[in-house]
Amino acid sequence: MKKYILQRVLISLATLLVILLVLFILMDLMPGTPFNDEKLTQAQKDLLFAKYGLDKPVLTRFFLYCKNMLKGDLGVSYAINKNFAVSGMVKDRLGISIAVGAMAMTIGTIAGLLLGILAALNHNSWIDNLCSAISVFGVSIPSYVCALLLCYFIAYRLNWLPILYNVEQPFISLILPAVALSVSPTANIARFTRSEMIDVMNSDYILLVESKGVKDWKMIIGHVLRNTLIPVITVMGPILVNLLTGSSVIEKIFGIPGIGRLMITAIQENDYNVTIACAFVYSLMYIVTMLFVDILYGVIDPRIRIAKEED
Amino acid sequence: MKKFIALLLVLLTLVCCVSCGKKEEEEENPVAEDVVIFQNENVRKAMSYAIDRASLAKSLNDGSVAAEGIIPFKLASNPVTGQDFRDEQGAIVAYDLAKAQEAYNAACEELGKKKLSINLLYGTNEGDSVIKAAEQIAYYLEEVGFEVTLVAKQKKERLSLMDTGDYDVALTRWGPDYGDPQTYMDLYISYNKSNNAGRYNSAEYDKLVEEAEATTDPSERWSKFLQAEKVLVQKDYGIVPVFQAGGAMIIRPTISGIQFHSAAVDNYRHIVGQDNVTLITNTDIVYLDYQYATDGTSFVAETLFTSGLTELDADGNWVLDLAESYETNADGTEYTFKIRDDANWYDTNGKVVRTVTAQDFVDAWDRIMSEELASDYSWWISDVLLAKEWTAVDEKTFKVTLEKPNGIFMACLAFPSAFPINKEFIDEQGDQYATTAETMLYCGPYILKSWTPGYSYEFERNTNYYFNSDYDAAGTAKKIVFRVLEDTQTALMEYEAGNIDTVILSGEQVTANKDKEGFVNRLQGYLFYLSININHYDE
Repeated sequence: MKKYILQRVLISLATLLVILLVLFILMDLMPGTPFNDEKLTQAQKDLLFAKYGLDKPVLTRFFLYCKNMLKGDLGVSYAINKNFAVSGMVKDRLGISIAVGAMAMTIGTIAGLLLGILAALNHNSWIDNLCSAISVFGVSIPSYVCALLLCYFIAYRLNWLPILYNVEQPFISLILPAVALSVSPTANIARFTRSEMIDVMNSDYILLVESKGVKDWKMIIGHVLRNTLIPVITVMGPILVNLLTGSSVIEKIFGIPGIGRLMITAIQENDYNVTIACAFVYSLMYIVTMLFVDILYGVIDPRIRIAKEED
Repeated sequence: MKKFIALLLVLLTLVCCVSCGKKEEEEENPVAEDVVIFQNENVRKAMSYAIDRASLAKSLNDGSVAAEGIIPFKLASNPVTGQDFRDEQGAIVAYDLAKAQEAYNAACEELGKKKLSINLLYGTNEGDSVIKAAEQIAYYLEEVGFEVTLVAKQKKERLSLMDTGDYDVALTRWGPDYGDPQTYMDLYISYNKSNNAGRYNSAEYDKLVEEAEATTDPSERWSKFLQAEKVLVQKDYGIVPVFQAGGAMIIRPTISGIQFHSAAVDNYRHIVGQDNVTLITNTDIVYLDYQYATDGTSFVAETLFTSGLTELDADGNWVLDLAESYETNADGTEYTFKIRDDANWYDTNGKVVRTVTAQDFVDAWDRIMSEELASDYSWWISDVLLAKEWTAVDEKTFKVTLEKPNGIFMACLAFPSAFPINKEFIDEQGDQYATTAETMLYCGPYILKSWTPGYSYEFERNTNYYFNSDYDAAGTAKKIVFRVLEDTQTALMEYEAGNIDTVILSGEQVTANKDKEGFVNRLQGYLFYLSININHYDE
């Protein structure tokens, strides 16, 4: 198991390095520069290019960037908050995005699992139909529509919660964005859990467990749920990363200074360092989550653990 | 190991694909095949007459008005009569389908073509009005027979394409830097390679603008600019003006004193009516260092916390600010300012650091002009103020020598690029200068208390500022908060709930809120026009 984890970590590191290189090349290919501004003359643009070292070849810049990155220096922003350290910008905004994302994931997982289990246990009854209807509704409605509906009814009409994000009451003001964000994961997890659970419940080994006289709830928690969770965790990994890295639309609606918005602005402004940092953070989180999911498999499913050890 | 090599190979392939894809894209020309058609005057004439500017502006529904020339309304007024440039000149563009059709047919004949194609370039992230306008312009041009392809690009890419001349016609804009026709007229001089993207080239126009800028007689200067505009827009159709941008918003009726200027920075220094005012901004401060900033949002914030020798009043006329009095010589080339005794530098806690001296202005102008800073606005001192020399006569006396008399000198001192700096503080802070409220010094009527990038920035009234004591009775705002929020729908709800005091409206919201108390349709200085690539293909 240790060898397996070590191997995975090394591959992850190499992948990150390659991703960084690809990002650099992509940035270089992007049309326009951070200094395309109608108020700047060519001479000033050249000065700015030289000042930020952008006149050097891509590879030189790449190695320089890697070297600085090891020191925790991600360069400065060229356009969004001029001359600000990117590491600081990303750190501040990532924190908020992770908070919203984690809240949304918690809500989504609990609600999704409950809905899915409820539907599967009452297979083909009206409860199942209702749960499925909710899921379809959740998958098909975009998060910003939910966000606006929630804003209008819960915050504006009923005045239960604040409309906009507020630094002074982060928890209270992040509830609405988190609920809006959790709608789609809830639906996805519910649908997946339901179908997996129905499969598992119809399998031979569960029939065996049942015939051995194991009590209902014990059978469901100890046997059915455990087997259901393995594939569910696979879908949860990418959903989690998606939520943690922020949603540009939700951030825009609630006025949250998160990383999703930052990345979109950075791309539009051609702010190279910020774009690279955001994309890199995204990749890093994705890879770490996938690694985590892989390891979690082994914990939940002994078959996978043994197979890996033999490998 | 095998897995690793495989991964590397996959990624390398990806890189190759991306680079090849890019090459193909480059071959795909953003320019229609008829590269020389825009040198034909009738082509440009047809475009100018084809656009129904009044209907277009009306359909934008945000307070925009039809352009009548390249100089916007309320930009500058005649130095002798005080009449607005636009009113004096009148409309020099018109919508006339018959004339457009005639010009189009003549152009087809002259060029030996059955149909003329145009690629119309516009920015997709420059606001809803730009997208709407581009679509409508395409429709109007097609009405007379042009075959129009819309080329939608991000703003930075649009500017990059215009820089290299890879475009036919682009919907672009210019925001005036100061209240004088020169801010527009300079753009189309044949040798202005940075702004004259279409390389409009007219000896007559160049001569008129050069003469206007050289003369010391204000009314001669004015009449040369009037003539130059006619040559550019009406005679040569060098560019096609389309609309002047508006901006619809609601301002809570209990507050007043926000001064909008179409050709200068909006002034928020005199807000009265409420102790705490929360305003909505859809963009954040880019740079607190006012010698570096280039965007309107930063400038608005900077005029709150820093002052210059003058400021603008509600009508756009200059009044003395940090200068207590001034003297000028007979021909208006030398100005001597006496700086107020009570003008001080304050830190973020409102503690006095030291007095503002004449040397602070000298340091500021030296710094903004230095090559090392590479400031985008260094030309403000040299080309707008026309300052040649500046010295500190004594601690509170600042003297400026101009290249020649300059009618807009006093008004242009009210712009952040001409504001003083505290050099020893900047040197002390080094790279950290102007990155937070703490690493900045203030000499204006408000002090920046905090700035959370992407979220908000807050000002507190500087009670020691000379004019603030006069305002106490009138109830000047004690605290002004700018909240960064892009979404106009939640902003409107927040306004209705009473949490914020202004809201910027867009699209349908304008119609729905037109009759609401506090609704304002302000006119901005931005003039949107079609830049036509006349001569830029050959370079």
